[in-house]
Amino acid sequence: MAITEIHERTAPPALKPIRVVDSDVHPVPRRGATLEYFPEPFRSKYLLSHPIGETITYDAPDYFYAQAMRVDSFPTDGEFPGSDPDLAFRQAILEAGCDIGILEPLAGGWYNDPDALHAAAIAMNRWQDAVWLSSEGNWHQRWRGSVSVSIEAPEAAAREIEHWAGHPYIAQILIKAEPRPSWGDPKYNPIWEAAVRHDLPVTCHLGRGQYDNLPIPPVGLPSYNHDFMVTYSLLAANQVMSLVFDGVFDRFPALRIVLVEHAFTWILPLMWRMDAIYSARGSETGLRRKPSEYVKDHIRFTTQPLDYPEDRLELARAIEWMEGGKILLYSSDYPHWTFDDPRWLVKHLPESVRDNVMYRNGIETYHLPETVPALEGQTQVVF
Amino acid sequence: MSIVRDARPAGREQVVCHVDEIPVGSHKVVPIGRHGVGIYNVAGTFYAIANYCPHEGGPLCSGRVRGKTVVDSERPGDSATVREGEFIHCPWHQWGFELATGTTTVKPEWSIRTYPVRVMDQHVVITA
Repeated sequence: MAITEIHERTAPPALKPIRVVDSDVHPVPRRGATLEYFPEPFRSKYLLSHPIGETITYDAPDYFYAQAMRVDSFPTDGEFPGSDPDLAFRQAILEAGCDIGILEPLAGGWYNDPDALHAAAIAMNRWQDAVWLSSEGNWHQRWRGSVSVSIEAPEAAAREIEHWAGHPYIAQILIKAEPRPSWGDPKYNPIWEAAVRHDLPVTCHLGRGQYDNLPIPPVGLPSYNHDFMVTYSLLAANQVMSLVFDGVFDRFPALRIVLVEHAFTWILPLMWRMDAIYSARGSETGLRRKPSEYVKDHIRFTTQPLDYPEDRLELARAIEWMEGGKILLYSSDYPHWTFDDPRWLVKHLPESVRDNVMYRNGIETYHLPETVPALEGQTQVVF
Repeated sequence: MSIVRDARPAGREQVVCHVDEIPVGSHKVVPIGRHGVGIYNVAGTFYAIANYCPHEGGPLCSGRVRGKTVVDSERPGDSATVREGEFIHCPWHQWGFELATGTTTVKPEWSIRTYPVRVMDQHVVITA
């Protein structure tokens, strides 16, 4: 397919309605690109003095070449997939047919110091703004960015949220799930407070933590990496339980949470279980509503990775039972190898929920406009 | 280009390129059909496969040509790669397809279309 080479970085005046909101696109800094944004003394102490090698803990197919990425997403300049905004725009927006891409930079580093992690988040936010959300990087107005914050330093995180609130292309706040204590602990209140004050959802992309933050199951670490990856969903389930039973949504009734890439089929039995405990315990829990109502009103889940049995009808029924039309957001996970093309994904959704999952829930969650500048040659995902 | 009279491309055969354009170990994607066709030279034999992965519609011929992994308890990791160069792996989710037959071990009932290829007078001819 031939794509016209676009030289002018101005948004075309003609508009098109948003039909696909992609809740998970990964921008990656070119090597050394975040250095200029990194506050001292952390820049010298952590980045300039410690060459970081790679620890392979995730053995995707053909890992030595593919690095767990789509093999066709490597830019020609030798940098990592996701580091070239133009290639990402061409593949994730034009070729895949997504109208909006929510950027999820994976911030953080291999250090335990909350201030250093906060410095890393600052660097990521400034870099994202300069490279992806500027008038040059976002000339097409299709990217929305995240305010990465270090949940280990809640006060500093709140200040960082204040700093970026009101930015026209910031759609959400990005936190991690691995650190302890769980999200229900009052120490995180400054983050929820800042989030609801600026009506930004708080999103968590899956992570595996490090050292004592590895999401270790109650019976100890699993034997293999692939079963360890199931623990991401279990980690998210525990955070959902903490949010509900520690009353975070009663403290902050306007708070919205998005769980990205944690899968979602586990939320159905979890809601049943929480509701059963609640109906047995009643007022002891201190909750004003059923746990499943909190989940459906306050939490959203992305469709990638999609788990499904051989019989697709079982997935369709499960989505209907969990009110998937209310709680699901389409995501692609571009440029990872687990990428879900929107034309493929939409076929797995029951017809009744397609509009909601592909774009209406996204527009509502991220406060997106109804239309975006129309782009010549963009794939139209028809459903 | 000289063509032997009684072996001209016939029916739905198309002359695609000169054999020198696809050296051993390389491939070329030609604009036939909706997604294109990838023509591979595997140790001197040509194969043609549709440039479309049945899994999610990925660009199959943008992937890497490799062998396939088999169990081998003699080797560290209990696995070995055999038949190097005979399989194309989709760049998106690494589904592997045997170039000769278009079958995949991921889901054998989901083979992808291959096309007959022959060399005629130093030219690659495919039936598509």
